[in-house]
Amino acid sequence: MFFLRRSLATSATADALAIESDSGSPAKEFKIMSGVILSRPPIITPEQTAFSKAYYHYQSELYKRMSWTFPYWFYYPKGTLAENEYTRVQPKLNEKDPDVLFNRDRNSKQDVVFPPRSVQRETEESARIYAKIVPNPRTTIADEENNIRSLERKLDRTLYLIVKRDGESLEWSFPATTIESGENLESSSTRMLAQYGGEDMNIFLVSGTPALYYKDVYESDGKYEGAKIFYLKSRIFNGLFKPQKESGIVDYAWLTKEELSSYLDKQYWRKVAGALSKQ
Amino acid sequence: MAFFKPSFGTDLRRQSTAFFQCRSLHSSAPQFKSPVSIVHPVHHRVRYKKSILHPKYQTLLTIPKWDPRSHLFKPQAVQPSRVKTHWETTLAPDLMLANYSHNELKLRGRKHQEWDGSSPYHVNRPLRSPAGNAMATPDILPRTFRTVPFVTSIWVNTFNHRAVTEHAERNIPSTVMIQQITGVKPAPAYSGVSIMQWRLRKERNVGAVVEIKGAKKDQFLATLVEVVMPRVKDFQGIANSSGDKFGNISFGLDPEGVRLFPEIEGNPDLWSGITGLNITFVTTAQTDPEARLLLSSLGVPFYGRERFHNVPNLDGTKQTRKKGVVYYENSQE
Repeated sequence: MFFLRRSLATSATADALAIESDSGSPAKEFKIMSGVILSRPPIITPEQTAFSKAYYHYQSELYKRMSWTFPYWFYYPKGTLAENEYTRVQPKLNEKDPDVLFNRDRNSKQDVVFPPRSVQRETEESARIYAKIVPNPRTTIADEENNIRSLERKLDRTLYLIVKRDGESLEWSFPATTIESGENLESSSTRMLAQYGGEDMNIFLVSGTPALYYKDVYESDGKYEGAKIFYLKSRIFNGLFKPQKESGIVDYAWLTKEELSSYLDKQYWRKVAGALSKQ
Repeated sequence: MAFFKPSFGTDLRRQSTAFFQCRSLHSSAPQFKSPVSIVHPVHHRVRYKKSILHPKYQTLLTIPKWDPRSHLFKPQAVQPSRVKTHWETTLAPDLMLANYSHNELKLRGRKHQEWDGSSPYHVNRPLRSPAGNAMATPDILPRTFRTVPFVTSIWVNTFNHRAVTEHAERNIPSTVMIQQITGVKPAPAYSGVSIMQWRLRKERNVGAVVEIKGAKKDQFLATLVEVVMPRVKDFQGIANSSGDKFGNISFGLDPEGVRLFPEIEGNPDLWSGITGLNITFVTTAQTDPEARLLLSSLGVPFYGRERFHNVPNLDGTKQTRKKGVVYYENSQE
């Protein structure tokens, strides 16, 4: 939000962090890279546990038992046709020992039953508005097919984008790129996402402050000792990640946190896991 | 001696203040004495319900409201809150990261000041008012996981002008209207000032006010954002100039906007003389831009020029300090 401030990480450039070697051999340096943890936030609320369901059921039944009497006389004024319709559909009171006040048996819970809407007054628009709401299923086709490239799976979980690029090591990781001259973390990561996944994605960078820092040490590289990667957090609102031809993306996947643990390299996963959402 | 009706409002406070101010040996001391006393020897000058002190009522007094055995108990959590879940899973981590900055220090607000002790009369004197004769302001703490903002409550109030010009009974439909929309029983609102042009006098009942908390607050927020605001004609959003500098944002809805609440819209014939609403979001955000960030992530639109204040100043931007609030020159448009 506060983009007027300059965050500390953005002042670092590729050649800033040269490291002097003790033995006098030519100094190697770390490559500075920017990465993106691109995620799709949960779209629906999480599935309730059996205990949670039972708890809310108990509380709502208790609420119906203890709540005030529904003031039907306010909505269905006395002496109107509407009142007739309302009283006609009300369930019969307990015959044994009713404790009745305002047509309500105070010994039992209150379930308010509304009269059905009269068909004559129904217009096309009102019929559409008052039609019974049928919620969509919690699972989608992508869930059944287990299509890990689809954004329409695991609707109650956060999905994270990981990619596989052809390079020295063919391993899954969050997308990252080298910071070019004149770029900062934000500009290089937006440039990279367009380069890797196309221009169709509607993406929101949460902050200019990195959410994760990862230090990758190379075993055999003439120029660099390793790479220091600063990951920014971002959200995808709509659009699709479509791997571009010249980007070198071999494969990509949208995965939950648990699924990531089996895809990512063990050492990488251990560093990354803390920055990911549980839900 | 005149019999005083029990009034626990301003009269009682005035009298007890007067009691401390006058000398009790004075002949007029009894008339300044507080009308209620629970210290021995007890000589009440007003009727006092001693029966509530009976041991049989002790359980009623000691059982807290949340305990199902209490006669005041009301089940609150009847279903999980969609807004709260969204805040916990998605918003809170994002807000913490968006507001965070490295090496942030506490920004001290204006406080009451000590006397310098140059005069013997400074002993036991109340503290000096804050610099510039302004109000004391809270400290701005570093943005960490402890200071992630959330909406604590929403205040809704209405002013019914016809209650002033015509009759106080005009307040009844306004009060019922707020109760319908929020699901919480409102309290009467009284005018604080006299305005001759409006024929308004001080302390007249001119409307209703309610504070919504918990699940009802989340429900109200969701209805406002998803049902009402998108359909208000020519609605730009809440002005960025709104706010009290300490994270509380207010705005107004006109009667046409209030008619869009489902509770009113479902039965429009029932309502006459709908009045507008003043709505205030009370948040734990430390500054207004943070509160706006929170609310806009919950779906509330804003418009206008954003002006940052009390932001940690790391890159030496020129700042001005006004009434305990630090402003920055190159704020975003």
